[in-house]
Amino acid sequence: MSSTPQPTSSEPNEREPAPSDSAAPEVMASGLELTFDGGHQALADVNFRIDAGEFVSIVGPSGCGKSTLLRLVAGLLTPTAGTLDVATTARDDHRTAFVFQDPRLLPWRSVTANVRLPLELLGRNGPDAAATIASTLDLVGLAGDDAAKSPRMLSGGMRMRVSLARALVTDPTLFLLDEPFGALDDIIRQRLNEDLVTIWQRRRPTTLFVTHNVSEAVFLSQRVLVMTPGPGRIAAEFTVPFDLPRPPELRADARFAQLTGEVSAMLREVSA
Amino acid sequence: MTSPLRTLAQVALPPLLLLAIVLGIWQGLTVALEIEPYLLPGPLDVLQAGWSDAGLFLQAGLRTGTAAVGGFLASLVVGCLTACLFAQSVWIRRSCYPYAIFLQTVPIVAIAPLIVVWCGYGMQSVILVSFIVSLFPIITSATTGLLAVDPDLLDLFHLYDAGRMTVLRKLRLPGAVPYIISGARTSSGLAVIGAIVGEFFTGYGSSGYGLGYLIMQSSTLLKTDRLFAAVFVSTLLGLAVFGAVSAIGAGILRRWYGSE
Repeated sequence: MSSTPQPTSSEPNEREPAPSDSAAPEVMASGLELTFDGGHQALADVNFRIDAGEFVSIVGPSGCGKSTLLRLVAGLLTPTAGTLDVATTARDDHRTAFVFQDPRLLPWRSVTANVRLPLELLGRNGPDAAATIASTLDLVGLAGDDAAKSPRMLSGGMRMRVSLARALVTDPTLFLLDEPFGALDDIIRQRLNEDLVTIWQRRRPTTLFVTHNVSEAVFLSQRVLVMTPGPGRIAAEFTVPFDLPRPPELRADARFAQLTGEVSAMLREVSA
Repeated sequence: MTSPLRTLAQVALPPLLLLAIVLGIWQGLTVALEIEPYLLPGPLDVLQAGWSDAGLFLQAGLRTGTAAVGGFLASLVVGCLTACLFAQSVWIRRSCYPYAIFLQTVPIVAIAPLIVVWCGYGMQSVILVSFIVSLFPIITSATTGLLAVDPDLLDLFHLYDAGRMTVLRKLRLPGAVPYIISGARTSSGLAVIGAIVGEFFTGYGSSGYGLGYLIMQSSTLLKTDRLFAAVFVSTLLGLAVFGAVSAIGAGILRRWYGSE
């Protein structure tokens, strides 16, 4: 296990100095560990810091504990060792949102009723809820006449947009996404990526995006963390220098290809 | 595109054709072999017996049907409530489940005298037997449905601080609807059987009679043609109750899942 290659911080391009201290950390993990009841150690000594308003992606081979890490940050799991500090707004005011690999909509509810669910559960289903829902649907690019439809009448991409709307309706300060676009075909995935950057730019939630698709991670994020499996830890960190907004043409940019290649190489190295 | 009428014809025609052939052979054999009517009456004898006692059968069928629907509705309500309790903890399930199986396995013949002792002769006892016989499928299917919740959705509800009751009301119960409907279909057929069996043992006293009583009485009097007619009416009643529950269930599912 100890033979897992650990990149050194001497690689200038791949390691970014810690973000400026002026920004408050939204999520701060140090020495984070998680061992499941059966004795399986999912995470060992995970350290990272995410500043308020940042967009950070985590890439890693399947089974490296990415999803587990995301669930820890969401507060759905408790670490067995180490500390994990999450900003109080996200935790105590329930301004944390989670998007799953599948849209996970309630089939007996219409699109609007699905998006309303978090407001209902939090008791924020007041008179202004309808306007909030309408503006959130608009934000994720769903037309007004989709609102009354049943989820089963929508395509996979549209369902994922509803799932995004359900997460965004509470105006989260911490936005967690667990490989949300993995099951979609490439064109739809790219379009959703572009829209997600726009949404993030408008609302600026602190975003932690788990994926196994390197080009997706580079396109979306300001920083990319690479995880190694067995047990999971953060092996490397890349800073993405591209400006916002990110147009589709960025994917054809030579610098984009180079960075994607570097991250992929690192991913191959740690998965070996 | 096939029209609904054509689909219906495709579904209904083959079994009806088979029925006609079987009835024809049956009638032919009873005539050709000169079988005594008390042993095996021909279909025409059965039809005649049914027709001449049509009022009797209608009254009995209505009474048995009322008891069956009563027993079924009681099962549906009690079964769902029990399942909600079972879904709360694995310990409740472990402690109570053997007794739920007891309901399934207890010979109704054995407890019928007890029911008569406690509840007397009459509609209430027949409903009770029908209820006991039809309860189990609802409990098992509803419990399965309540537990078959997607773990991601549970996480979602916990993320927004939803309590146990909210999870039950907004996630588990709505998600269990297809399971409950499938259990209700099984249970509806059993409720009719339960009501007829209940009538064998408890009856309605002097206040009236149901199909169960007609079956018993016809058999005692060797009125085999009427016995056959009673069996046929019982089957029709079972089909009617099952069909009604299935149709209502399909309607609910259509509305529930908003299909076009």
